[in-house]
Amino acid sequence: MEFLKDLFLYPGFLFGFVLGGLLEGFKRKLKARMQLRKGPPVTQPFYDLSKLLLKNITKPYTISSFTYLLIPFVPTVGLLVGVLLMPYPFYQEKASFSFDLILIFYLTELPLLSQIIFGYFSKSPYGMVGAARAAQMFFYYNGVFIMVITTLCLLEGPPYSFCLKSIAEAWDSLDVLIKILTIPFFVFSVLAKLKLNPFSIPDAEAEILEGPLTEASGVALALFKLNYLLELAIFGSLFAFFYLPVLKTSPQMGLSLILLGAFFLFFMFALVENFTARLRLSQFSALYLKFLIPSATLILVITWVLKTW
Amino acid sequence: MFLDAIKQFLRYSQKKSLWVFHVNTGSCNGCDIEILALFSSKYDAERFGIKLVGSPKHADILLVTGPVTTKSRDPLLRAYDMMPKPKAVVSVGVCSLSGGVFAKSYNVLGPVDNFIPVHVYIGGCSAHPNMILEGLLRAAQILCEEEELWSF
Repeated sequence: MEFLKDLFLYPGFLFGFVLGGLLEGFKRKLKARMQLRKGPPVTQPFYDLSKLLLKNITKPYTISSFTYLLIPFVPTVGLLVGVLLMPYPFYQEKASFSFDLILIFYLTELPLLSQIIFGYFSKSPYGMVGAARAAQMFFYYNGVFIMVITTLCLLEGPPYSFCLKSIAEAWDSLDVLIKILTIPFFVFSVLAKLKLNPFSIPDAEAEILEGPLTEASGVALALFKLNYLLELAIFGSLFAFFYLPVLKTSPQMGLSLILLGAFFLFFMFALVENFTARLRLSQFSALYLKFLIPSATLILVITWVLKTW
Repeated sequence: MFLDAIKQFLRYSQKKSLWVFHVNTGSCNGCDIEILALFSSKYDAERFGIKLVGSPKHADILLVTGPVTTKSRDPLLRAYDMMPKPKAVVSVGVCSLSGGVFAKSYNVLGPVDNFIPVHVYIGGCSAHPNMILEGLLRAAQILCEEEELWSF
């Protein structure tokens, strides 16, 4: 019973879904206000998602109904497990397992993999181009993301483990300095992970329609959108765990800090999205290969030297 | 009772979230430019939850501009067939209503409603963004309330 409550209410499905939806709505509203528009209501993602649940499905002939619905459903389950693996206040005290960051990292890759598989399975030329672009981008931004989480894992001291709780509790003055240095790399890799501008290359609307999701409709599309909202909640919370003293304060304050951190991250995303235009794939790879991956590696090496010698 | 309430909410969501797929079947681009203006800061259709989508499989509303020509008939029918139900069609500009200045041209087959059912007609050459916005909101009302559209 307790587990079902964790899975479906807090910090599971309901919390992740509502937080993700509000973050997306907040970002859209903020983007509109920055462009001197009124913008959609903050609850717009919920309307979009619930509308899709009642729509008919028009699927391509090349894919069976079972596969069509299974591909987006698997990452939904994965992301729910991912949400449960985060040390949220009021929940981390009673959880008996370690909050493994590596596992969260793998689980947050599932939606992208499912989109790539869906794009290729649908046999749509737009879907295949979108899937190919997403697959190419995967290696670059994950390189940076792995550097960031490895750097943060070095903060907790030996024995090194990728436990999110220990990273969230590392708050010496040196730790804070290193954490601040990794913020731009975290923001850039998450921007690319969430396919936001300037890295909205896989689902570039004007060029390749909706990218890998071109052939998705009805419940399948709703599941893809739900996955996206859960991803937003996970990355918003990760930002708060990494860069705010969430677990150093009372649980009520910790929860408020998580919400504050998540909304601040999406404020930054709205700002970056409004300032930048979409990059080409070659520009994206050049930015990561020439600048972001070497700089993230340098910070990792410096942290390792400072922490071990 | 409970299921009815959920169903009502989902239908209400359909009214608040309109994803539009735009097809130009041979217009002079005048109406297309007005549709682009609809999403600019001045008219801001996004405040009603209206969004242009790239794939007909995501769309609720097909926005058609221009008369149907010999070349554009099949793509129009294919796009309409690909849209999941419930769906509505909004025909924009006098050319899509009657052929306009292009009527009786050698390659013009006729107005849009000769080929697919049209739910809202918006006149004008070119149609004003405010009129297009009102037409889209009427189409949302039809999508939400018309029982026939929900029988699938």
